[in-house]
Order: sequence, then structure tokens, then C-alpha cells
Amino acid sequence: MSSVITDEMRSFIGAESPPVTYHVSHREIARFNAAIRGVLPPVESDPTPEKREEPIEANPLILRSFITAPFDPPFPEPFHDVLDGGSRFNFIRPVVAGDAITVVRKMQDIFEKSGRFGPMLFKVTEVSYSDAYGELVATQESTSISYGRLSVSV
Amino acid sequence: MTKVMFEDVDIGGGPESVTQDVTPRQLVQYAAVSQDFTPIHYNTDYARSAGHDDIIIHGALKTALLSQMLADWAGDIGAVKNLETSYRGIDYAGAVTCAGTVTGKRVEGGVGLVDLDIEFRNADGVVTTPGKATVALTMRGD
Repeated sequence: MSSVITDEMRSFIGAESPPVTYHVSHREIARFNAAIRGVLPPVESDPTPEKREEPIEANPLILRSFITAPFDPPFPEPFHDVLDGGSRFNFIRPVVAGDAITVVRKMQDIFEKSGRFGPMLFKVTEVSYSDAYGELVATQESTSISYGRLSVSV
Repeated sequence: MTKVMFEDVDIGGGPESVTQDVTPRQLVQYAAVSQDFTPIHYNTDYARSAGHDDIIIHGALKTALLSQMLADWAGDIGAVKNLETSYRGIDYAGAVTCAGTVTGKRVEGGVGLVDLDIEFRNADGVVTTPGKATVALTMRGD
């Protein structure tokens, strides 16, 4: 079986995505936490909830909602469908309302396997999450698996 | 919120397991807040065309549910420090269980750290997402 990994794909190892900054609001955290609890989000009538005194701490996985920008140029994804293979998080401090979190993804490794869905491409990346002072808030190493229908010729 | 103290934690113990019903509505909610709009999480026809029996739970939602169990156990002062999960099986909407078992404890830099094996089980009790975690717990005198 021929490899789905091309030289162009290998050239992405070590590449970083353009940074993206997210400003975290009280309301956004409340909605995220409600989704994790499986309850409907609170109806927030206060137009400036972030000014209230009680702090609100996000579920640590809110970091996953801070989507990184695509690599530039974009990675030549060979397949149409993607599964999440798993993640390893290192949390340095909680995310709170008022944070400005900048995310950057770095491609660490690319490899392939064959499985239930046929050939599968594994991409290992590390995402850094930094605050407005440039201090690291968390890191995430994750593996994504693309498989199934071909999206481009390889 | 119940607070567990570092000194009171024993190896083999850990947080109470949490069983909950993950509904299609929760998957839609999670898709919205996480910006993960992959159709296999909310479109049954699409999920089946991709080889699945039904819509599947987001991997990151499973990790978030595990992290919530740990955060609730640690209380307001404690914190989840490290969390690692491996998605080895597909989970469909329905009853799922999060569980954790303490495997070690230590004090580093004056902080009480507890290591755990964690797992996410489907309705049949099959572990689909094993993992490991480290949680900082409040110490007496903190």
C-alpha cells in the first residue's frame, strides 16, 4: 500500500500556526460550564456580568474552544473525516473572565496506520495557551486522526 | 462545595464516580461552545455515512466531563494540574460514567499533589477513554 504521507506534509513538522487571541467573558464561561454540566445556560440579564464581584472559573477544557488558526499555507489534509485521538494537558493556572488567551499550534509529528476505517493519518500537535502578559496558562499535546473519504489526490 | 483534604486521601480512594446521561442536546450545546461542528456529533445521517452507528460524543467533551469530576473533588482551592486521555472507543449519546482512582500522592514545593488513573465508561461499563491526572489538593494549614 502506498503511503498517504507526502513530502509536502512532512514539511509541516515544526511549523506553527498564526497566533489567535480570545478575550474570555463571564458569559462565555457560564455557557461553557453549562454545556459540561448538561444544563441550559443561564439567562443573563446583567449587561456587565464581568463587573460583579463573584469570580467565575472555567472548566479547564474551555481551552479547547480557543481554536487555533489553520497553518499558513494550510496543511494538505488527505481525508474528509477527522477523529480526536486524545490529549495531554498541562494546566498552569485556571482561565477566568477577563483573560486574553493567545493560542498557537505547532506540528510535532505525522505518521500513518491502517485500521477499521482503512488508512489513517495521525497528526501530533502541541498547542500553547498564553495570557496577555505572555505567561503560559496551559499546554495541550493532542493527536488527531483523519480517515475515510479522500478529500484530495495523494 | 465539598472539599477533600490532601491528608485524607488514600491510595486506592478518589472521587465518587459520576454517572450522567449525555443527550443529543448536550452534544449540540457542546458543539456550540467548543466550536467543534463536525457533523458526526449532531447529524445522524452523516455519522452513519462515516461508519458510525449514531452520533458520537466529542472526545474533548469526555475529557471535560472527567476534568469536571476532578475539579468538583478538588474544590475551590484545589486544581487540576495535568490531564491525559486516550480515546480508544466511540461513545454514543446516553448514560456514561466518569471515575478516578488515586495511584499516588506527594508534596512538591509545598503543594499536595495526587495522581489518579481516570476512566470514562459507556453504558455497558466498557472503558472507552482511559487516562491519568494530577490534582493539587488543599493541605491542612494552607
